[in-house]
Formats: sequence, structure tokens, C-alpha cells
Amino acid sequence: MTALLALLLAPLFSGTVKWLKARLTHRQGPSPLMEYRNLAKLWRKVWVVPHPTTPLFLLGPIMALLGTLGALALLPVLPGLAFRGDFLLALYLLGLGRFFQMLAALDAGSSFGAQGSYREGVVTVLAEPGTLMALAGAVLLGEGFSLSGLPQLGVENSLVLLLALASLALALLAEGARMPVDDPTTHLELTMIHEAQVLDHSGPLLALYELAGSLKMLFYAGLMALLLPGSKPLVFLGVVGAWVLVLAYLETYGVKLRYLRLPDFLSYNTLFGVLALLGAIWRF
Amino acid sequence: MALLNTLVLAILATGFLMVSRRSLDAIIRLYALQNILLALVSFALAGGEVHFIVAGLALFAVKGVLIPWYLFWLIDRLEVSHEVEGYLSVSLSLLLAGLLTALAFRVGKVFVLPEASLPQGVPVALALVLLGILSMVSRKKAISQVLGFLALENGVFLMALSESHGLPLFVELGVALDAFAAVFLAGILIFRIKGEMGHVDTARMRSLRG
Repeated sequence: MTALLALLLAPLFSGTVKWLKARLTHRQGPSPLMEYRNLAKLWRKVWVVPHPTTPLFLLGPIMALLGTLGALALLPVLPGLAFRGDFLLALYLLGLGRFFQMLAALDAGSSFGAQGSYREGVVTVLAEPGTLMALAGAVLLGEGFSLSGLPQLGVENSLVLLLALASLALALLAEGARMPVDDPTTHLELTMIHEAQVLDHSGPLLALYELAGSLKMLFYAGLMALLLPGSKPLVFLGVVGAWVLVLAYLETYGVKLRYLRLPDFLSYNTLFGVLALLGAIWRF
Repeated sequence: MALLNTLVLAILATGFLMVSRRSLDAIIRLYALQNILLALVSFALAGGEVHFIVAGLALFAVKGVLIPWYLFWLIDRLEVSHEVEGYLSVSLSLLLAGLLTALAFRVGKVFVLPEASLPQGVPVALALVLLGILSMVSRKKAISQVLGFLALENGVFLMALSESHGLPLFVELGVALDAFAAVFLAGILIFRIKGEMGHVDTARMRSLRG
């Protein structure tokens, strides 16, 4: 259910960010609905498969999308399935998608793809422990050890949940290949992470990647919405709207961090994660 | 209560950022912000008592405006680079800061007095003291060590505020002025160091000369 909602919402999300970014720099900008047309256009195009590739090349975009959709399906924004430990499955379904994306980029054998893959690998390694610990901390405070039993922001658990929210926010920027970590609009080989990976894919395969990319961000926005009080679908829409504003602002006025400074940036993520987990165990 | 919680957490966040940022300007601005947040806490705890409001205003004026302004003037006059040099990398100092904060939260509950006015402020105050000590020992430049001392002093202030419903007004004012005097003297000392040695790097001061 959540996955379907997110699938409908994802192009609108990235389209709105693009539109708002254009408006902030006093340009006309494409309509927020442009992204749907863009995806449809990409879908109709032929795809080019580089010669010495294996089926992994095709599997990459498909698994990236399926993994992200699977992770989103486990988010109880709209009522869905829930079981003990589903947050681990959700996070690692996302990781599975990313793994195949990295393999597909390596498969084409171009230096760009390899570069993008190893950078993506580093970002993932840096962002994963913090995210996992932050979520685990939040889940420990709830009941059932499951995403559906997550506690909501209140007076007595505010510390742990605020730390978890901060950690997830940083993870969203890193995993979504957004501004301080990666510039989604750059085409400079020194700075590209995500773009370099999808460079060899075209047509429908590129459309799948684009969709998976915005879905990934909606997944983190959904996680944050679960921690906030209120009616879940409404909060989800609110969080997504807030992220549109934040991303547009960051990418208009922010600067991209140098790649070697990335560990410093993501160490905040890990720190918040560790503190959230300690807070949940020791009941700060 | 939610407002006070948010303020206290924001103070802790400024403490973290002061440990991890690598630009002196940013650290001084964070210090000013920390003091403004502390002043807001004392306004929020006032409950109509005048001496709280006066103490908060004095805090705001002396530590939120005067000291940061003096420090900016100082680094301008010293003509040193605005980068903070430390013995630890950013990630390592953040990790240590996290461990110290966890420790402070773990042991903080023991220190809460029964009539404390802001029980959740005590662990944060302890954490600030520890973070101040951390940034004092992990940095090379004399100015950033002064900033660590100032953060430590803020921790002590927050502790007094949250434990005992505030110190008497005169003690409060005295402490604020003391901090300013200490920073002023440290500034003179740093000028002397710069004049004698040509740098303010404590890592290079190894031998005692007569």
C-alpha cells in the first residue's frame, strides 16, 4: 500500500524539488508534473546495452527499483504487513537494491561506473551503521520490535527520537545523493557519485533508476514520518513537503563537501545513531 | 516543558558542534548562540522573578555579545589563521564527544537534587563540562583552548541553573564578569605569547626558558 502511494508520489517529489530550485534562482523551471512526462518519455525510448555486458546490467535497475519498493512496502504509513525485526529487512532490501546498482555500474566496465560504484560503497558504509543504530534505538523504545510499533515523539522519549530523526535526516542526504554529499546536477567526473553509476544506462533502464532514486528518499521521509505524532498518511505528506523545501534550499544555497570531508559529515550520523541506541538502552 | 527540553537539547547540540567544527569563527558564533540559548533557559525558568531576568540579560550582554566580540577582535589583531588545529580528527573527536555525553547522561541522574528546577538540564550540563575539557586538551591554539574553557564555564552555569533554582543575583553577575575577566586576561596572555614566540601554538611550546 505504502509502496504504491510512494510510487505515485515519487516523480512529483523530485519534480517539485527541481521546480522549486528553478524558482529560487528566478528561473521559470519545469512544471512539477514534468517528471511524469520525463519518465514516460524515457520509457518509450530504446535502450542501448554496451557490448561486453552480462545480464547483471539489466538486473541492476530492476533490483534497485524492486529493493526500494520492497523496503517501502514494509513501512506502515498505510497499514500493511509487520513482523518482528522488519526494520532490518527494510534497510537491507534497500541495501540489496544498491548492491545490484553498484554491480551493474561495474559490469559495463567503464571507468566512470567503477568510480561511482566505489564512492557509493564508501558513502553506504559510512551512512549505514548510524542509520541502523538510530532505528534500532527507536524500535527498542516501541513495542513488538517492529516498524509498526514505533513510538511517537513525546516528552519522555524526545531525546532518543530527536537523535534518531537527525540521524535519518543525514542518512537521507547521503543515500539520496543530495547536496552536501553529492550534487545530483553535476556532470564533473571528480564529484559525481550517483550520476557516474547510471551513465551507461539509457531509456527504460534509466527511468527505473530515476524512480528508484526518488523512492529511496521517500523511504527515509517515511521513516521520519513514523516517528512523528499524528495521522500517518498526513504526517508522511507533511514530511515529504518539508523535505522538498529543505532539499531545494540546500541545493540552491549549499555547497558540496569535498569527497574527503565526507567521513566528517557522516560521523554526525553515526554519532546520533550511537547516542540514540545508548539512550534507548540506558533510558536517558 | 517541551520548550525547555528543546532549549536544553539545542545547547547540547551547540556543544557538539563546538567540539567538531574546524573554523574559529564558527566556534565563536556557536559560543554566542549557546549563551543566548542559556539566557532563554533562564528566562523560561524565571516565573516572574526579577533576579532571573536580570541575570539572563547580563549573561546575554556579557557572554553572548561582549566576549564573542572581544574574541573576534582578538583573532583579527593576532593575524593568525582562522582554522582550528587539533590533535584529533573530526570523526574521532566527535566519537569521544559522543562517549563523554553518554557517560554524562549515564551518571547525570545521580547528581539531580530532589528540589532541582530543571532535572533534565543536569546531564546536559555535565556533558558540556566534559566537552569543554575535551576541546581544551585536544586543541593546539591558545584561543581555541580559551573557547573550551568558556564552554566548560557554561556547563557550570547550566548546572547551577538547573540544580538550585539559580544562584543569587550577585553571584550570577560576579560569575559572568569573572568569565569576562578571565577571557580578557587570556587575551593579554595570548598577545604576550604571540609577541614572544611569533605564534600561538601550544604544541610548539615544549621547553621552559628562564
